[in-house]
Amino acid sequence: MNIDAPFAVHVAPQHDGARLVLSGRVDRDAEDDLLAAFVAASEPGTARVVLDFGDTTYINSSGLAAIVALLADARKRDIAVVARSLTGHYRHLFEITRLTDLIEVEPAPEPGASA
Amino acid sequence: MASLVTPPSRPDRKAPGMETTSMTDTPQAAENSSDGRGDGASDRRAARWWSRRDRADTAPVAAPMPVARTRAVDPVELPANDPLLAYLAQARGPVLVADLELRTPAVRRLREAGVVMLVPLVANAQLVGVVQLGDRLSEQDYSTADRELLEQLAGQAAPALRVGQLVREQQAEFLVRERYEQELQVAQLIQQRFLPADLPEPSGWRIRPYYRAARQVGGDFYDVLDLPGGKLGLVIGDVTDKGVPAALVMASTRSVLRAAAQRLVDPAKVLTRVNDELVRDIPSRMFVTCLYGVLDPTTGEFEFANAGHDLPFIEVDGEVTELDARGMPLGMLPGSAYDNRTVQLDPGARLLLYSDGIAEAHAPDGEMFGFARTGDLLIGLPRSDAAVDELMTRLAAFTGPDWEQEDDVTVVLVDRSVHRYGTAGQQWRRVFHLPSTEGGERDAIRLVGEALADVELADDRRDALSTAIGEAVMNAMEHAHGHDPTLQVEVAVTVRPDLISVAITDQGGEDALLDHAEDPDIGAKLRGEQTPRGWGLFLVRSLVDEVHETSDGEQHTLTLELTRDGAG
Repeated sequence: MNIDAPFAVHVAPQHDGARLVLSGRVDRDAEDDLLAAFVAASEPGTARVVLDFGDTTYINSSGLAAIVALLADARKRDIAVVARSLTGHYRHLFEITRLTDLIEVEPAPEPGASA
Repeated sequence: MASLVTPPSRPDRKAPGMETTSMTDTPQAAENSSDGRGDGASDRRAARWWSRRDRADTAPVAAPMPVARTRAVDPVELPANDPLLAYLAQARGPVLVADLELRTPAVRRLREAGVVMLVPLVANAQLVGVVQLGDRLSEQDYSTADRELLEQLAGQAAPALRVGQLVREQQAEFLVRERYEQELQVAQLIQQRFLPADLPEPSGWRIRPYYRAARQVGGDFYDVLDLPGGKLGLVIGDVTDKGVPAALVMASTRSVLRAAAQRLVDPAKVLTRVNDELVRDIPSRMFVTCLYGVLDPTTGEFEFANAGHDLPFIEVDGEVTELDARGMPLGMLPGSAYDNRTVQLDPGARLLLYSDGIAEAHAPDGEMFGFARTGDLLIGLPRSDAAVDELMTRLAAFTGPDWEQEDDVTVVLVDRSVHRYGTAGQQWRRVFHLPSTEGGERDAIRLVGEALADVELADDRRDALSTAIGEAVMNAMEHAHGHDPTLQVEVAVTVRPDLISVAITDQGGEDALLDHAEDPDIGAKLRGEQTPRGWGLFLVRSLVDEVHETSDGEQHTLTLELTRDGAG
């Protein structure tokens, strides 16, 4: 796992909103791009945005802060946010920081199931 | 019948072109240029036609062109060093062989061949050709008019001939250059393919190679081999010769050595085997110098043998020692035998393997870098990845910026960490020092992860410790050091059978982080009552079993502890 991989985000429209596919490291460097992608995905009528962490290699406290800022924006826009493909470790971070109070974390896929 | 010239042999191809061209007039040519009858009448007519009076009416000269009907002669090759050529270069117009006072081999052969007249072709004061003429068929002597005409012909032909020579020389040089460039590319390709892209690196050791090819690629090579029992084979070598031949011998030496090293542990036996293989196939006058050694990373023992390669240096606490081991280069003599030597590389020791491109580098005034300076390169090198760059910077300071690198420069720098630590299952400690840069915490995560690679620990505990270390180091680099890269954060990892402890020390004085840390409240952060940031210390405390904070007024240390009860 390359924890130095730079952050990138890709917006994939969905029927009720959008999926933000995050890759690389989610840290301070990711904040601007992540929030900009969220704004871009938050068109009128968007009810739900999925944050897909399947290609994420590293999340630190600055990355968690960026996600908190995103959640604050989502709350203002009344958009539900869902976390997908979190590893067990990062799921644990979301739990101990109580991010899970504000973001729905999808269960981990069954082993062998495609993401 | 006119017979014009043959090329003299010119041993130096760079010398100005002195060419002779045969312009024997064939019956067909005679027919075209006279009345078509090959008899004496046509001969006379031709001579008359080429008279001075008629010259203004003639067409421009083009070869083959009859000047006068002469007997065919076999062109005589004129050696470039024959004094006749110097004479002809100074001659004014055609020269009768009978009038020559020179007694040189060329003159003798010209007479034997029946050559009567020589017409020097001179362009830009250089003799570029000689027209050789036999007797006139009419058996009359060459007239003054004939000679004037021949002189004029030579005056026109010589520059054209020289231009042709120059074009051919340039074409030949271009082809040589093109082939040279192609060979250079092939040699570089072979060299690059056979130098290892990734080197094994046991915990506690830093092995850093450097290779820079000369313009004409030499045959330097290095290798680091994984051997049974966790040992490493270290190789450095140099093939005599350059270009493709050297690259091919390098490639085959490396392959043979790799194979032998896996079967034979003993370095001397490995070199003996490689020599036996090479000596059968290596081109004559080529051989390979090579130093091969086996490093035991656990004990630091380095056993090596040498086939004529430059002797390595070790440095400990600023003391440099040249290691001694000698033997015949590989591929030189059948049955060469080698001796093993052993040296101990204790923590803090550094070993320098290098090629002669370093010791034989020159300063602008011609002074050679030499072996003493090569050994001294080790003194005061940083204990980091910057060490090899620093080493090359020092070499460049000696050679100056305009150094035309005569040979490949190759280095393998082997650095044993100053901190002792052992294998899994034992108690050990390892210390890292990291500059305070943005993102520097990831280096800490990576280094500690590598150090703990062999330590039994459940994945979730390992991940938790990594994140906690990253947060603590990031806090030190950012808040205590303000990302000042001149300030280092120390990360000391201690592994005991029951505990893993990671102490992170900065220059943050008496900061009492744990006492003042505010517990993050996600609701307050969303409402804007707390900054979205401020998770770091909370994560540190949440992810490890114990966190201790100490300060001596200057240095501040956070110690993270993880019990190994949960090891699985």
